Amino acid sequence: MEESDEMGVLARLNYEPGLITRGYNDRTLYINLSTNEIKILPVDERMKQTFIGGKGFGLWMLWNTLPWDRIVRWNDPENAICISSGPLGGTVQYPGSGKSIVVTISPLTDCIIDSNVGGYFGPYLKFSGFDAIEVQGKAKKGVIIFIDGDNHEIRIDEDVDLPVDTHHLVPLLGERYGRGDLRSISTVSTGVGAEHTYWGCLNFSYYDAARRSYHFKQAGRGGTGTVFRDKGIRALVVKFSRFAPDINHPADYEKIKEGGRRYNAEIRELDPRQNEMSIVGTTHLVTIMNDYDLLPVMNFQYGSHPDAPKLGKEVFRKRFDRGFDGCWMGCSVACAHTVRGFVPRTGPYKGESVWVDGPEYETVAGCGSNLGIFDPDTVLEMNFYCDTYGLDTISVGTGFAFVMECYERGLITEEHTDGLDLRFGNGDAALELLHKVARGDGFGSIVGKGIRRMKSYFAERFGSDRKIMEDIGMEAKGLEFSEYMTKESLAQQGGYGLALKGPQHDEAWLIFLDMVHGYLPTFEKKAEALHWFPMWRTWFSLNGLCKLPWNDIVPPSNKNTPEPAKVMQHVEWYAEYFSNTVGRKVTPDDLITMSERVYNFQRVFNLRMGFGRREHDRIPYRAMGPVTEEEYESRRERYDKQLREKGILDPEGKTTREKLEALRRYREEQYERLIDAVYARRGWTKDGVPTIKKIKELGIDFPEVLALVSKYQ
Amino acid sequence: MSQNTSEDDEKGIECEVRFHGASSRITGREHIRLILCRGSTLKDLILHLKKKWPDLIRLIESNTFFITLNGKVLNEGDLEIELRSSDVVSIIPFVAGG
Repeated sequence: MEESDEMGVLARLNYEPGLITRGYNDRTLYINLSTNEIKILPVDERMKQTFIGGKGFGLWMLWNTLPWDRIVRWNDPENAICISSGPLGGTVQYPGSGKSIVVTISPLTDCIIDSNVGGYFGPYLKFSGFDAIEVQGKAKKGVIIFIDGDNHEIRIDEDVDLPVDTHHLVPLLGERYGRGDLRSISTVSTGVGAEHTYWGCLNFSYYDAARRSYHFKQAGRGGTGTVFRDKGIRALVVKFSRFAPDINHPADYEKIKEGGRRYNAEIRELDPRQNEMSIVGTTHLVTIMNDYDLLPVMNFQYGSHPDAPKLGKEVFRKRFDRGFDGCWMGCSVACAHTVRGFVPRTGPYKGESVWVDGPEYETVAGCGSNLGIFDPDTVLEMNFYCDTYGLDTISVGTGFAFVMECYERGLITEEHTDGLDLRFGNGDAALELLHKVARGDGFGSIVGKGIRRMKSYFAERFGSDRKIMEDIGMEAKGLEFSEYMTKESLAQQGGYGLALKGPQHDEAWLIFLDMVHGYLPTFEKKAEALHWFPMWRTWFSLNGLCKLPWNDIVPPSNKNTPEPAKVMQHVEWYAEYFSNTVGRKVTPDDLITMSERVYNFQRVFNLRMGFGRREHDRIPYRAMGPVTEEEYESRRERYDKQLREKGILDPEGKTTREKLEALRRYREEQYERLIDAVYARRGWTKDGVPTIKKIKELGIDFPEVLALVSKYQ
Repeated sequence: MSQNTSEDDEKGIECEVRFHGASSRITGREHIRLILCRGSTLKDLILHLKKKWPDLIRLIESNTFFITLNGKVLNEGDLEIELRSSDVVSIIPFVAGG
């Protein structure tokens, strides 16, 4: 590595080309922006066996790079952003195999965050010779990190006053670094919103040759974009043009081709006859969630609304641009849709014709129904601005919903909101607030710090009632809830409350199994589900994979299997996929064990960061049951029945307040019982700490790990 | 059993049928209201749908969809359940959340 005297180049490293063998390069890339150091680090067999790749690699790299003399905060130079795909990442024969996983310390939770994202960056990074990248330190001025996989060169370039927001920045980066080959470029960037909030997301790009434009998928959760901008990174750019179908060099390429053909054929046949994700993406969920009383409406107060179909899949079927929309090559699910020629009515890009990448279900629910907004144009505009500003649509949606309820309840007034009338349903006010949040302007600068900090700020500065805000502020561990109503599903309450990074559904989406199918009637069954599903879902993020092909398209034979929710035929296919890539024969149970190692390691990492115990697995009462009398009355029949059938209280002649309080005591107790059952199933203590026996059994008994958990046995 | 069903029999019971996933593409709509003769069962309703949209039944019989009544999944043995006014029957594919 050399410091460069070349104009605008801060450092440069030429490297030997890598050769991917069985999904791995066996090396990672390390960059320190404080010192402009660039170095290549080896990956050993134990790292691969224990951490697999993706999130596992990110956690292990971060674990080793952080100092032990103190707890590092998100904006300390020692924090690192790690991005890795995984051994199966970059495969084009199987669907959903182009994911990257970002790991860093979150500004929202002050703990570990991981975020799984599409786009071409992770695969291109791997093809360029690296299983992962770790960026530590802080640049004095803005920089662009360029990984040139064609010419085997890594550079740290000075930022040259490029535009900040993503939809303007990335086409310029494509021209500058692609030199006429736009398809060879993939970028990671964010926007102005990431500089002023804790909700910054990262936009991962892919070039759509048919539409001749860059499109984006987001690593949304936990403020990864905020860390990125705090380090002074304008963009990561990777260039790679020498793609070949067998570039991942799997152990048995013929079997990979055969297995991939079988999986893709099934998806092509069944997706058009099931959820139609290749046409409507995940928007099909909107009316389903609405019909089953699970769609968050007005800050999770209610689960349905008569106007919800205005945001449903039939609306977006007409709005989405026709064409192939995979966020990685070869994916037959191809759910990443886009709207062409959208013209914003507000903000700095008012009147400009833009692409809107999305919306997905979460954005529709978060920036639509949860705000009482049922106008698709407003949702599209929120989607566009969140993306180009680099803001997470889920945290924006849930955060704004909290603000709007506070406003409606008089906890804050126009005096506090800079004059904005933030009643539910006011789309213009929501958009104006979004622009203020992105600019870090006035009330917007408070909102953009997230619900946990808003609660304290409102209580301390505005005198707002802290108790009611604790009940209605939908965050846990500091992260805003994703967009499902959990009040009537104890299993999903656990799915959110016990998620390692905070309440994101990617660990456990049990709501339908619990409420509609009735598969989880007992504590034992719920606890088993809260063991198996988080472990299995974790596995996708170790390997650079998307979960949708697993269980959003199911074969006809699945219905009559002993456990249809697990879609075991597909799990077996994934075991084959792994075996034929990595060259190590594994079974479905082995896949669960792989995840269990990383999952427990992440729990211990949380402990290292000062969290990771029972007290950190609490959720607000709004997630468990009705906080207000209006909420109780909206489902009175259901709640009265539960009080009666469970012998909690005879509702006859009781006031709503009395019933509400009795129900609350019962549900809070149920949640604690569930936690006990899950901790026991996972091999954790009653305080939620993995036991030493479990740590040893999983082979993650590194000395520092043992020292940490020993304090809490 | 389609003689048990009539969309304009005012003496009957009124149910709603909702179509999710690809089923709405077959029916061309996301929900319908049906007025059924009193005493009609779920089986009667399905036969009515079968007559109107044969492809819909093929979809249901493909084993990748399920039927819910008022939000709860039904099994084959539940086909004899007698429907009541305001019942909501949904035809829904397997969904699992990303």
